[in-house]
Amino acid sequence: MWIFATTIAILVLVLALVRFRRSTGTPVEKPQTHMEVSSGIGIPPEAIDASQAGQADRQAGVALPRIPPPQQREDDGALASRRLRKIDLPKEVELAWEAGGLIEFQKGAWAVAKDPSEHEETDQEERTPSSIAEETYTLPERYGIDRLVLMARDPNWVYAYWEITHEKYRQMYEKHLRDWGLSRPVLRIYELTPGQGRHKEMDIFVDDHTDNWYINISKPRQTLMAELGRLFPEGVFVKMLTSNIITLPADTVSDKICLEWPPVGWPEQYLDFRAKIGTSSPMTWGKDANA
Amino acid sequence: MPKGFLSVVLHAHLPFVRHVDTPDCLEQRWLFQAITETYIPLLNTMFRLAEDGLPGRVTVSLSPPLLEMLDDTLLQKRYIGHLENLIELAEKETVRLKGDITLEPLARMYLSKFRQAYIDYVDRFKCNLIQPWAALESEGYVELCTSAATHAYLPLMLTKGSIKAQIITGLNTFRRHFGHTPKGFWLPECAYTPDVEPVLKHEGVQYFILETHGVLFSTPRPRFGYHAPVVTPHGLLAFARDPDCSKQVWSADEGYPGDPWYREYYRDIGYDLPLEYLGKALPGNTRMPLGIKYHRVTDRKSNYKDFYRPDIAKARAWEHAGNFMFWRNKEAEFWKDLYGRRPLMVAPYDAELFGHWWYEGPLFLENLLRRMAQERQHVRPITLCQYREYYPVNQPAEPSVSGWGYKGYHQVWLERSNHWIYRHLHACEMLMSRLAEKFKSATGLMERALNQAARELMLAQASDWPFIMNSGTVYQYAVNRFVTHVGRFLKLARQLEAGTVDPGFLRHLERTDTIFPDMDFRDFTAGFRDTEKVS
Repeated sequence: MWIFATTIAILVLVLALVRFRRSTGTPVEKPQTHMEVSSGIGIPPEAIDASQAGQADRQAGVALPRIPPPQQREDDGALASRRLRKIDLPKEVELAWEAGGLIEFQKGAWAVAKDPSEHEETDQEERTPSSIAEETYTLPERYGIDRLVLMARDPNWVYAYWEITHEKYRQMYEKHLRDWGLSRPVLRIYELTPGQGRHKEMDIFVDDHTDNWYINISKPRQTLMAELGRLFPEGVFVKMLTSNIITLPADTVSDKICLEWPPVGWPEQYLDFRAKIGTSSPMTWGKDANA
Repeated sequence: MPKGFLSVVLHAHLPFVRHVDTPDCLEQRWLFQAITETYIPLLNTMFRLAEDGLPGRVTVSLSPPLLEMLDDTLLQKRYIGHLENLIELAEKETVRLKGDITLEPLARMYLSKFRQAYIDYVDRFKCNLIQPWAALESEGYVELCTSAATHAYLPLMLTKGSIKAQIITGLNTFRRHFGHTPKGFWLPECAYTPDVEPVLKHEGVQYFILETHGVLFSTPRPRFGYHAPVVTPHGLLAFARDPDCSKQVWSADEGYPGDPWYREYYRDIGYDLPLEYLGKALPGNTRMPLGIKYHRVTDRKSNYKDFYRPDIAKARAWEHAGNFMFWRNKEAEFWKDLYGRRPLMVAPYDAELFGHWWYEGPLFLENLLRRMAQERQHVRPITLCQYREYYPVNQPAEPSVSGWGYKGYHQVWLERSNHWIYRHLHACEMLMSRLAEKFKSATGLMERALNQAARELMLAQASDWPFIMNSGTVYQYAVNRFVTHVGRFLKLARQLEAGTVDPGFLRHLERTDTIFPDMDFRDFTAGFRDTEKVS
């Protein structure tokens, strides 16, 4: 038993002595290998050449050393304008240069070719100056157009929006100055029927401070237009804007029947088919499924 | 002889989410997830069917923004990086769950799936998911079509010039990638307005697909309801979506994807595990689904979720395909007897439903197409163009304005949360038409600026922004994107009108919004007359 103990003790002592001598002795000169050189600034050169390098490493479970981001040097413009000489380079880059010319210079920043495919990307992206500071956009409230636009949303609803320029408004105001305070803004909807011209369908009293309106009109297949104006106390309507012409979609099957193609054996479900499905998008589907 | 026809149409679309300066941008993951979960599995499905000599006869619509993104080298590289992170995470998961009798096999399943996706993407498809579709089409297994340039909601546009530019640019993008004009055109959100027809006719398109009542409510009344196309005034074929096909798959209540044995979309380790553990796979510390999910639907009304069982889910996908086939056979028999003409059932779906939202979707589709190839079925798969070979004469009628969104019209894209965008869009449309007319013969810098302005306007016109505003999922992102593109457009327009285009700014935009390299702003010119519509 004690023989074992002494043997182990001696072994430990010897090992310790060897280690101590190593650390205090003359430093062992490190061999300058490719690996050593490039490990600081990129991946080993042999990995760069092979196009399958990434995959081999992944299979071996080796994490590739990351490349430091290209450092923007201060003398950006000057460097870009003339060809770079080796002497301008940081020490480790110079070493890597000798290790196989892996360095690419672009616009003063230096970059190490990491991967043939990666290289293409840097090449493509850094030739143009990296993104210019772009403002945060705000959209204009007005475009300086006098317009009233109708949009048919479905057989029952129309969406209207409008814009009146200041000039137009002032012009109208000055013309009808006397009763202006008593007048009210009105959205007048007209029905257009072929052969019969147009006739007024309804007046909607809107607000002076609004610029859009949902109109519930329920006239499937009807062609419509609108005017925005002001209604004066005597019942005079002064038009300010005229809209585009829209046709509302159908909400049921047509009454018209073509004699060459008469409907056969139409089941009842066709006649009260009211677009029951209308589920289409995965996002909607997902939302419903989650709800 | 079959008693009826079934045509499956898959529409693949994602908004243009290439963010040059923010590699970690969350929205880019829509694309990455769709590639892993939908586009690669669908391609594999189609190739498997092709190897077995089964003609899938599926019509696939690939939207122009999607084509541009799939073709983009920067996004391809980022996707590989994303997949690498995901594989790393899946490896970590196999270690974490070692010894767990239910979860370890699941973790291993994900790991092998992601590794397979990597091999498929990098080695098999060479990072190019467009070429395989072209190959499938040339062999006659699928028929390809495309959509409007940025998937704009066409009926809500003001000027005909913009509608024209959207359609032509979309078709040109398709031509650039596939070398021919598609026979069909996918109207974004199936939203139809008669204004699209002259352009489609002019460009040589032969058919498009409408929501059921787009055809059913057409004038005069269609003889065969929604079971046959109608010939529109411009001589195009308008097909109708079959409501039963839609309901069985889409419906949240009774649709197949809600089956208790299918994988639950919303229980994802992206939500469930600590952020520091997820690490690189979830940059930006915003929780979002990562595609590793261990739970099944269990009960849609309850929050209790049981663990996922791939074997049972697989069996369910087979059963559901059988169920779907059963009803199609019944439907075909019924309508055939009623009409004396073989009915056509058109089943259009968003491609992303298969795989991304409904994990077992590609499997279902494969089972369905395999079952349909069996002899005793009454229903035969055809592509929409093939319908003409069986029935060259169809009823002329004017389709009704419609869309496939909620309630069947434009309500989703025009309501309280998003109606404010149209006053900007319409003003920009008019402005663009005016600029295009004014600088028709521009060259050099001016021409580049005009093309870029057209790109910005089109990106703002995407139907995705109002859709997201309506659904409220990433509201702020949609608003930001919309405001940015309109802002960029207006800034360019101001510079153009003043005659002083800033080359630095233009270059920045050309580098940021790279969509449609062959854009020609002159497509907007015809719209000039329409500005008189509004005065």
